[in-house]
Amino acid sequence: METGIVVALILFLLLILVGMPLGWVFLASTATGLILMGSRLTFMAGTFFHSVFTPVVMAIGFFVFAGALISEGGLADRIVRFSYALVGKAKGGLIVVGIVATLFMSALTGSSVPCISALIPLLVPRLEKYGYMKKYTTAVLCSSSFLGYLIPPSVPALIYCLVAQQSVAALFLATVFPGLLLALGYGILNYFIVDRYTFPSDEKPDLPDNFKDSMKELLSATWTALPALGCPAIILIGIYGGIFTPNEAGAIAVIYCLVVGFFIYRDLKIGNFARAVTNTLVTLGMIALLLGGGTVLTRLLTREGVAQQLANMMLGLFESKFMIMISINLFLLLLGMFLDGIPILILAVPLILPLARELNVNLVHLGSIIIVNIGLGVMTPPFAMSIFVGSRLSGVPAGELIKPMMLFLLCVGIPVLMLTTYIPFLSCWLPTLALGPMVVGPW
Amino acid sequence: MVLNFVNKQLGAVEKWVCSAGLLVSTFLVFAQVLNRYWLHYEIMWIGDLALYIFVFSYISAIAFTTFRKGHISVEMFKSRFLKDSPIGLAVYDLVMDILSLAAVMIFLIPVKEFFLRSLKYPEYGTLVRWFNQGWLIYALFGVVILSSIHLLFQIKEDMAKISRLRSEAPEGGDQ
Repeated sequence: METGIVVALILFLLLILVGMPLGWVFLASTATGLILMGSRLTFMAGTFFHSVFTPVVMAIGFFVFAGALISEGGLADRIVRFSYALVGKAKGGLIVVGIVATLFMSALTGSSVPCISALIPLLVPRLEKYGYMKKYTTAVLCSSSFLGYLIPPSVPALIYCLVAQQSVAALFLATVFPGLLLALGYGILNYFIVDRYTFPSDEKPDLPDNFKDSMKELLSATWTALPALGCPAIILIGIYGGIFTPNEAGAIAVIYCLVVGFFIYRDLKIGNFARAVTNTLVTLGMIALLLGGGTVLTRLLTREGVAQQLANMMLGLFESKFMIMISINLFLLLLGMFLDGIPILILAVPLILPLARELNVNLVHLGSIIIVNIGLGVMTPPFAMSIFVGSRLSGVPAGELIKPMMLFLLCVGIPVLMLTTYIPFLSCWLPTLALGPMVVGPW
Repeated sequence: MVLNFVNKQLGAVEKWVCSAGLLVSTFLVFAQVLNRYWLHYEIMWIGDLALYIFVFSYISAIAFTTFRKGHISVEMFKSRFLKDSPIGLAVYDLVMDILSLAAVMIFLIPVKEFFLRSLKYPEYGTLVRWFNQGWLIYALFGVVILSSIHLLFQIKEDMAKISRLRSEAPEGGDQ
């Protein structure tokens, strides 16, 4: 490996660890590498520009915008009421309400942080009144937040498709089963451990006690939540029915959220709307710099053969595909402990692709594995975005959230990752069924 | 004072321009779908125009995010070692802003070359024939300059904060 590349990589790690903004780190380390190698910097600008000038970024932008509008538009309240009517009566059901609400919110927001930002203030104080410890409710919601990456539409899936040149429609479907498995696993684990995290309370949740009233409440809650639930339905039917492209689906989701927020629920006011636009712009600016800068660095690494060397090293180190897949997962989990999902996708995917091709791993399946990994990264300390946000919103110290979250990570998250890695059926069957084997390829 | 004013005004202009671009491109894409299914008349260039407008906003949002200090970083070092030292935090912010500015200034070199080349060789769109795609490269050049102005302002703010904290701190301590 060239000295310039080695210095660039060392500088990259150093600057990340001291806390310089990641987008600038990508550019600084690439420039240093190029200067030391005696190359011109010209390729940086062209690569940066062409990586952000591509149609997929529109879909990313629109889904981020729709997610911001949903967070501000009062849709979460209706989703919680609907989930409450659906599963509130089961043992530990009020916690399951949180998991189910996150599942639906994921389909609305396409990301993890907007889900918990909307749900924690709604659910944590309410459940504490009924005897559920604040730290447990927050931990469950934080752990569930990564469903936002798995249930379509998913912003990380769009970024993976952009980097790996895969079908967006296929990737959206590839993570559905892992997402549902995760939600089911959380529900089961909650059933067994919820008693450890409850305390006696005089207040009881207001739930109908006979079948007729329960059905009446369920129908009424469904009716109220219907406009909110319509959003993912329109997006998915539109994309998989061949009615519109993912870009158009994103724009329609934005218009739909505006109509529902302003005219149906009437919770979206001009102030919330302005806040949603500002938040969207900040997120887009962050993604643009990460995408542009990250592509510049990874293009340099690929050009200098680092990705191929990494692939050769892994193939030389381990003989079985099983072990290599484990080491890829460990590598991604380790990155997830320190980095956010988007930089991991931009940085790691181009490095892993040659190895995956050598191993004949289906790239839709690989996308699913990588997205589950970066989803787990949301809940693995020390850099766990969901813990930071959850702790700030609920007022529970971050340290208290880690123990219950680790239970969910080790008992559900890791097993789901293993199943996703070693059973390609989970990721590839649904997209093959919906889009045909030509789009997904052999698995 | 002047830098403060310029920085604020630039931030406001960036916000309005990017917001307008985001909304216009959303409505254009929506209009394209309406045209196709309602009016049964697909106007091919709408998609390209929406993409150009969106990419312009997307690139410009980098400067706005710099203005709002929204670019993400790993804040482990800061939260672990400096959380109880206000002066330490201010010095840390100053160092990070200087490093970021250095990265932006280095990036300005290739972007300027790219910009000059696009001035020389305009590249018009296929479907939107009047749209010079080089304008987006001008936008990238502008964004790099705007980001450096925002970072310069943030450096000035950090330095002011450090001197304020130092003057407030009791002798011999940094609290």
